[in-house]
Parts: sequence; C-alpha cells; structure tokens
Amino acid sequence: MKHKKIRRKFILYLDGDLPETEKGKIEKHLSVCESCRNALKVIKELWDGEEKFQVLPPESLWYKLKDRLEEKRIDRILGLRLNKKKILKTAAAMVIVIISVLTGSRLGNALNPSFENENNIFLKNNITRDDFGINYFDILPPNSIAEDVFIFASNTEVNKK
Amino acid sequence: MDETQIIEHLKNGDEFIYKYVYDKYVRIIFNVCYKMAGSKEEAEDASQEVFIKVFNSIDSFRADSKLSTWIYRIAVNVCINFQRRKKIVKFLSFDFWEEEKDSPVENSTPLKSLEKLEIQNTVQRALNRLPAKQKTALILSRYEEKSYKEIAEIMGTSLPAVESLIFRAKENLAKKLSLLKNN
Repeated sequence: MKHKKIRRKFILYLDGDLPETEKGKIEKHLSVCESCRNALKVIKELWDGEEKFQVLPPESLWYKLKDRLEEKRIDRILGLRLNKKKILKTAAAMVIVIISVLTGSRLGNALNPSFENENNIFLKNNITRDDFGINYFDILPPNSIAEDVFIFASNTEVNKK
Repeated sequence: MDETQIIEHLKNGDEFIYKYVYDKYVRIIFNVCYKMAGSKEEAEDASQEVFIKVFNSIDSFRADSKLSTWIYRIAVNVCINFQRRKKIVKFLSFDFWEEEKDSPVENSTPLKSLEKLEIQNTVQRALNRLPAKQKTALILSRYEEKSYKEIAEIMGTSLPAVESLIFRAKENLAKKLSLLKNN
C-alpha cells in the first residue's frame, strides 16, 4: 500500500474499524516506514487527545426562544403567520400577471398597424413618420412617458404646420 | 412525565410543556448544533430554530420513532440547512475564493490547556471540511454516542449507508487532519 492510502486509514485503524487483513497490512507498512509512523503519532494525538466535552447552552437562549415563540403565537392569533406566505405568493403572482397583460397589450397595440382608436394621437393629428423621419411611430406604447414626449413633439410640429 | 404525555401536552399547545421539553433536550440539541456549526453563535440560532420546529410541527410527529430521535432528526436537518445557507451567502458575498475561515472553538473550561484547545480546534476545523452527511453521521456516532441503528433512524437512511458514511468520514478526516497539522 502507498503512504497516502495507508494514512487515510489511520482513524479507522485507531478506532479498530478495520478487518484483520487490512490491519496487518498497515502494521507491516508501519514497521518499515518512519514517516508514516510519525504521521500516525500526530493523528493519534489529535484523535485520542480531543476531549469529548459538553458545551453548556447560554442562559439567555431560553428567553430568546420564548420571545420568538411569543411572536409566532401573536402572529398565529392575528392569522398572519398562516397566511403570510400565501398572501405573498398570490400577490407576486398577481403582479407578474398584471405586468405581463399590460406589456403584452401595449406591445400588441403598438405593433398592430390597424390600431386606430381615439388614443392614437398620431392618426388623430394626421401625423406620419415622414413628419419626423423616425421609426418609433409604430412602437410607442399608448399612455407611456415616451408617448407624452412624442405628443409634445408632435404638437410642436402641428403648430408649425 | 412519560413521552406519550409530553407529546399530548405539546399537541394541545400547553405552554408549560415548552420549558419542560426545552430543559430536557437543550443540552443535546445545543451540543449537536455546536459540533455541526463550529461556533456558539450559530449553535444558538440553530437551537432556537430546532425548538420552534419541534413545537410547531408536533402534529406531524407520527410516533413511529422515539421523540428524541425525531428531535435529533430536526436538529440535523436544521443544521444542514444552516450550512447550506451559509455557503450560499458566502458565495453571493464573493467570499467563495477565500480560504474557509474556521471559527475557533471556544474554551469551555478555564483550566483547559492551550495544547488541548489547539487539538480541539484542529479536529473541529477538519470536521467542518467534511461533507454534511459524513459530518452528521460522525458527530452522532462519536460525540453523541449513538448506535448506527439510531443514526440511521435520525438521518432517515439505511444501516449500510450509515456504516459507509462513517467509514468515509473517518478516511476523509484522517486525510484532512494530516493536511491541517502539516500546515
């Protein structure tokens, strides 16, 4: 066995978890390899020397826990705790749906050439893209800030005419 | 008070039982969390989470194992989740390339020699570097002195799986201990 392989088995060897054959191989190797003997000494020192101590929980732990339990109890009484997650999930889903519908309808309207209603300020004022030499005539979503800017610009153009 | 009565009171939400259960299990829970997390602060947070889960989900306890086994199971899951969260936070805070900072093991007795503390620190640091499941199995076996059967119940796995986890944990630990000691 190589040194690395041998050293990996040291804790198992110390704890007596290895079968006799493997234990024999390790002992055989240790009898001829000083570096592995030293490595085993170090591991033994660490593994056996480590005290299995018990840590005492701090006294404040119970009071902190009590506070958190009380918070949860109040939440439950108010019905918030049970519904908090559901409310958040539903609200998030609703926001996503609303944003998707609005964006979809605006994009749809803007890209649709037959979009002819009273909101279409460009058609109402008989403005064509040739008046501006630009291409955003078709794609500005109605009621958007971009449209407001465009209305301002178009009114100026109409006044000029 | 026997276990059935404790469970019954917990299910009824009788508040006096919380302190009773806390007193009965706080030491083992805190010690498991401490070994798993490696620091007292994290062990405190994790222990609180464990008790809150125990009190709030007692209705889901089907009594197919001992109450203590169920509590251990919750503790192990909470600690593994804490570790996962810690790794994610570390990754998101761009600290992931840094060498893992090991929380020093606090001195539990004032008379403990520096040498012993150093040994404890080295072993804890090596433990912290083990994969979560191997670490859990080894902690339950070595420090909580649980049998392989009990560990299998706590971890919700089979006996051969526990044997293999502990075997691999000891192999890995020996490797990591040699590396740490050499450094």
